[in-house]
Amino acid sequence: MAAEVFTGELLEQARAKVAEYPEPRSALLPLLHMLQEQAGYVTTGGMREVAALVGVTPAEVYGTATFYTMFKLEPIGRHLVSVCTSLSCQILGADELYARLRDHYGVADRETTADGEFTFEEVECAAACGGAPCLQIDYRFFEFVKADEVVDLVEDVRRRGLDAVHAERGSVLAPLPPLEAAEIAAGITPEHKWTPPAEDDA
Amino acid sequence: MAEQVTIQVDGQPIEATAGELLIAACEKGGVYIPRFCWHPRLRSVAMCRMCLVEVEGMRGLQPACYVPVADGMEVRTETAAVKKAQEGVLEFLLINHPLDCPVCDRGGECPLQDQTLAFGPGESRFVEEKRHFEKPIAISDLVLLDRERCIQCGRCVRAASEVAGDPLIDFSYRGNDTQITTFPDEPFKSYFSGNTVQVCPVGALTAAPYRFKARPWDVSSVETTCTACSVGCRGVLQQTRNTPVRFFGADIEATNWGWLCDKGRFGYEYVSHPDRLTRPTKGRVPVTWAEAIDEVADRVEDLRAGGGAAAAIGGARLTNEEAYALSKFMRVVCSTNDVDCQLDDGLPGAFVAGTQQRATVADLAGAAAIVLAAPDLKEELPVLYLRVRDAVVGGKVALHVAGGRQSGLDRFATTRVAAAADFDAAALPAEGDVVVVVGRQHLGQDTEALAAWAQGLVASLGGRARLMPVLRRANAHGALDMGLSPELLPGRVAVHDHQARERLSARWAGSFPLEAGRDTRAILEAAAAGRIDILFLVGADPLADLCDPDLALRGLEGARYVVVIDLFRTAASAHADLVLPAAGWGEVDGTVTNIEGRVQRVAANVVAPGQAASDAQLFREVAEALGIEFGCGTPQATMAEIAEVAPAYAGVKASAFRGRAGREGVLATPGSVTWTLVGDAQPAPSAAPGDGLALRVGRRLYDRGTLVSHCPSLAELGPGTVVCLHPDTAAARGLRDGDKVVATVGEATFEAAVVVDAAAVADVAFVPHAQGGDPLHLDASTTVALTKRAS
Amino acid sequence: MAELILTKRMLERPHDAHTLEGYEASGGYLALRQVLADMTPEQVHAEVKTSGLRGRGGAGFPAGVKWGFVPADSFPRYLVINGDEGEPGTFKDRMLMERDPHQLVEGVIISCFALQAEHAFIYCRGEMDLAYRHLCDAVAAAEAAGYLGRGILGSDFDCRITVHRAAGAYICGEETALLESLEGLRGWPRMRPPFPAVAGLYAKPTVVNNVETISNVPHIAARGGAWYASMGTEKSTGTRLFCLSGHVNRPGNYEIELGTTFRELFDRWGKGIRDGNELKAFVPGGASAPWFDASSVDLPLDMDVVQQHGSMLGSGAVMVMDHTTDIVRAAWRLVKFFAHESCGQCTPCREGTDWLEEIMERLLDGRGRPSDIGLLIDVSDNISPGLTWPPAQTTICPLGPSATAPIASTIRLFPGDYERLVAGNEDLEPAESTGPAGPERTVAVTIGTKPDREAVAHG
Repeated sequence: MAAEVFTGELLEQARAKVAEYPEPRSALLPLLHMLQEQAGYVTTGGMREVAALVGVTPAEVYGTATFYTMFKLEPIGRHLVSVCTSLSCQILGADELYARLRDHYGVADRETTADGEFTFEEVECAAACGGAPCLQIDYRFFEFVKADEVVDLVEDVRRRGLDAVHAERGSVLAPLPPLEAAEIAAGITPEHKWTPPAEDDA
Repeated sequence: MAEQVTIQVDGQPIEATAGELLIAACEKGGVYIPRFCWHPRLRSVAMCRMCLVEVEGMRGLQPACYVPVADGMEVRTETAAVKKAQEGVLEFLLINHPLDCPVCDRGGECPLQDQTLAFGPGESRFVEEKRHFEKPIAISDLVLLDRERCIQCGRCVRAASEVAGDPLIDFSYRGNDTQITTFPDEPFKSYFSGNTVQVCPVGALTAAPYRFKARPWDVSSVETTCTACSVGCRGVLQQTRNTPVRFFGADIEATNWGWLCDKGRFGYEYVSHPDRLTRPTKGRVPVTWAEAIDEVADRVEDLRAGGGAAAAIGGARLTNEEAYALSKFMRVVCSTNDVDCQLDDGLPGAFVAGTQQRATVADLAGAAAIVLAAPDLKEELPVLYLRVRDAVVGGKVALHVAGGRQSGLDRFATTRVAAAADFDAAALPAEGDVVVVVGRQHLGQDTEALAAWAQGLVASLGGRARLMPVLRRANAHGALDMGLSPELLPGRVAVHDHQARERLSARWAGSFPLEAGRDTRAILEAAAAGRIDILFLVGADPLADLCDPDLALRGLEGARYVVVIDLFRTAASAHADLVLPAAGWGEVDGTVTNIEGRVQRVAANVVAPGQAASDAQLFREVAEALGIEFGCGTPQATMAEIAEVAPAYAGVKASAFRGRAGREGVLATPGSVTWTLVGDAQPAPSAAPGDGLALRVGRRLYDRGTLVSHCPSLAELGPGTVVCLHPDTAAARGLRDGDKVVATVGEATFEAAVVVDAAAVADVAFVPHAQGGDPLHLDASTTVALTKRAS
Repeated sequence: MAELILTKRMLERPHDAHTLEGYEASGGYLALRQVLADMTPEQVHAEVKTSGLRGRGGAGFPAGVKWGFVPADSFPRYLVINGDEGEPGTFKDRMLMERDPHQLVEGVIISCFALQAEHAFIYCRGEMDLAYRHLCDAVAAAEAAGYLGRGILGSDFDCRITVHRAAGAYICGEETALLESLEGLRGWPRMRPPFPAVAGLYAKPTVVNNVETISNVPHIAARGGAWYASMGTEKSTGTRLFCLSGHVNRPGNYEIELGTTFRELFDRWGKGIRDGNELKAFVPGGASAPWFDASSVDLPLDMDVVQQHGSMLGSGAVMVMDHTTDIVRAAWRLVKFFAHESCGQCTPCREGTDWLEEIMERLLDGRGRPSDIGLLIDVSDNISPGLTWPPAQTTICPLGPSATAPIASTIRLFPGDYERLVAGNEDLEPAESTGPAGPERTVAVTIGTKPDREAVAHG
């Protein structure tokens, strides 16, 4: 079996990754990320190569790979749209937002549009609850997304590319604490700092 | 000695060993805590949560399979909280279980079924759709997986990875989608795959050979000893309607711990094969047993009267009692020492039988180091491989590999040298026992030199050395012990041993030479020269097994009269004057002796087909037809006689096999025969000339031998005729994996497929023996030339 | 006056706090210089103990005490940073990693010095692509500047950091599952003992700390444990990042002195409930925490007090729901989360969380039976016996019991919301049982208490 994914420079990178860890198997997830970036998804042949690189059997690689939701075992679209529907997003309309997308593109969860452009998936908390409802496109954040605008947003990505749309509309960095200058200056001492109740109250 | 402690279980005291797991201690004390994932021979994982109990001083419920006992520990196994939790777990396990018990192989012997009967709810509160998976998928040629029945206990995963070292099945996905799988489209190709079926607590893993063959309440079972090789694994043979349907391992501390290899587990199939010999034939003409006995008796009588010569080759398939009968027959009736149970493919018989500080399998784990100068154990003695692996896997016992092919054990080796002679004993730890495992590493090997080397190493280590000489064939060790060797008499004594002959004379009414007889090669040479009047081939086929097929053919053609006693027709039986149907494993009672010298019982559970009979019967009846009092009327009587005349077997009596302890068998005691190297060792093979590669012929677990080829489930599992080459060696010759080549060895040629194998030795062509092609003529300097064929 | 600690730099230098230049320009790595010049590992450890700093990942265990569990003479040892933030409602670690990665890196180096560990791993949630890149950049920049590597800043202390990208599994936020994952395995929590401090990564002593926890370390090292302990309450010292989300007017991460009340968090920082609505319920500390209703709004942000009231501050995620919220649906969403994230290792969680999700789905679809409410409680009880707080468990790790928290607490606080869903569905109840029950079972129990057939036949 000749290697097809890990050759040349990528093979060097993979070997360097393996060497970073006290035990080779630790590089399994990083190597699967490399594989997915290179091949678009976690391919069967690629998993065999990863197995050889870290010294385990392909069955063990498969067992590990299938545990983690980021690893896709089938090809996906050019862009992965991950819509958070977890609690904070849900109570602010994420379900409707996701339904809009599926209806517009005529796809079900974890399906790809016919033109191969977008794969949509419902995901658990994306850690942007302060900007709920949120979604990620190729793991770049978009926050406070309204159901009415979500299709336009996705279409905008198709038209102008993710970089341009994200720079304008997305969260380039995680939002800061939304404090005003006066609040910062005033400090964070509680107005009514709680004190333990007296013994007889307990 | 581990500290003994007392724990309180539900208010009752239970004696236990400190550190022992609570679940095991309770079970020994008579309190059975339900469990699914825990297995006494596997690592505790506490996944199924069925064994939750209360332990005083510990917060919450504790899995009894994970908590070590400590003195004074108070345990409650029957409180309301415990019952609620256990019933809850059981309900969880059942909600997605298909409840297809009526068509499940496990039905009737299923822990999940039993626990449900005992603790389960009368009806289901689960009204949702159950999990669905494609119904059973074949994960190998032998094992099927039904993921709907699976309760995700992981016993199979642990058995494959921890015990066998073959992590080819694993959990995949997670949560409610968790399942057991192989790598996509890659089979669970392990010699130990059947163990996963055995440990599966439900019907998720089933064995293809047993599937739908029987209901557990319809089978009759006996505990017996496996004879697929000479490790002596214990197991239970089950039959229904006189057909063996299943064999599974019994957990015997001394030998197999419950494990079997797949060849042992599924090798019962040949027993009921329709091609079994069922009646005596003379040429192509069936004869009665009486006619056959008369004919042999006439021949033997002529020979006794005229000073002719008889010889016997084989006997390693027989029980000790049958082998003893053969040995006695040849000595007493035929007056010859020309008997050999080895076909020039084992070790010097006296070296094996004369072993003094002989190692047991259990010694492996207690040793400081193991020196392995043996064949690939996984291929030839699979469960010994498991025990060696178990000993060395944690690094507690150092492993030194002295020669042989690379094997799965090499990764644990502290040192590895290419040939035993290169081994440096200085690498061994300064203290502690050293077990030296020695066996033929390939068929052309000079085993005299190997034996001398082992003897020297053991001598240099003094009292801390233990030697384990290993022969491959079923009861080869027992056959040697019964004197099926030109230089040995029953009881591990030399043929010229006056004391032994004196002892035998009480039972053996006949004389036989004081000098050693001929070995297999010499017998065949003599036969070829017309000097053998009767040649008995007892479960042996020199045409297939001897690495000198020309000699075998000349011998068979030159022998005046050839009697074949076997289970099936063989290549040799075509040259026989008389072919007699033998009863074999599963059909005869008796004992066999394993690599440790452990004598264990084999038990009959089916009736042999047609007129097939125990080999012993022929020899007894011929002797009696000649008016010679022979004895050996029953296996029990033979066993008693052996105990009387063979000092090493003095303790081997019927009473020794009774009860629980009797399941472990009895170790025969060391014999008095000694072995020393005569002359010089043969020179090491010279480098391969020209394009030729050094040829090594060795064994693979699955071959096209007589027995395997009559087991439908195993017959196709061998590699076929292949030549295994190291990647560099292959590349240097422009050969790639799968290429077809014509191999030339001397004047013979054969076609083979190339297997590029990183475990192969550079500049050596490894050819597995008996894979369908003709056997090869081998000597130590044999080389092979390979020519690529256009595809 | 309590001040901002963790978020000060990113608020002052929003554009370059994440770069080495920005970090150094605002006092970065001075604490490390000071530690290496003037302090022993024991002294650093003592300051962390004095600070009372408690873990910010959820369990709230004092960091200094945790460090003390490492056996004295066992090397190598490892520090592992848990950056697998994935608890619904939590989004602070992402901000810390993206916005101020050097603060974490400096904290790691100082902590490694205190622990005498030479190799640390930052396990970064896989979906946080930017955080991962910023951490990698920060580690590379710190190496180039001599803050990492051999002989750091001329001392004899060696340290390196491997940033490890995870791949999508909430359970890996559980510290032993994280270690399994870091070893290249499925993220299955380990049985304890052994505890990670004794046998963790590669079976070597390992300390696992949260991103926020370790981000505090440079400040404690520089300004002293006593300074840190002067803030907050007696046992919940310092400041903490609260992730405020849901139906408030101004959601976001707020660094607050512990001891503030929930009311102040919602009103002063969150600027009140949206649209002037009524507060109905809130989750005080992440998805695993039992819910509170409006009557608990005057409880303080104090770990022990919240614990005494039957919940926890956990990961600092406070999710607010106003009176328009469909409580059962909201609770179902968290149950669905836990079912999706169950690792599948142990039976009660693998089977139970999914079953709970399906029962709740049935309720929401209008197919619920009146007995389903009792069934939800009983199935929950089989995962978390007694439904106590802190929870007991039949499972290996706390994930299973976490799934029962939203169910048990909302059924207790809002029984009417459940009853409304099943009202009129009496006809969906199954017919009276005719199956075996009662006396027959006692016979069966006798069979089952003998060694099962497997033990006899299959050894």
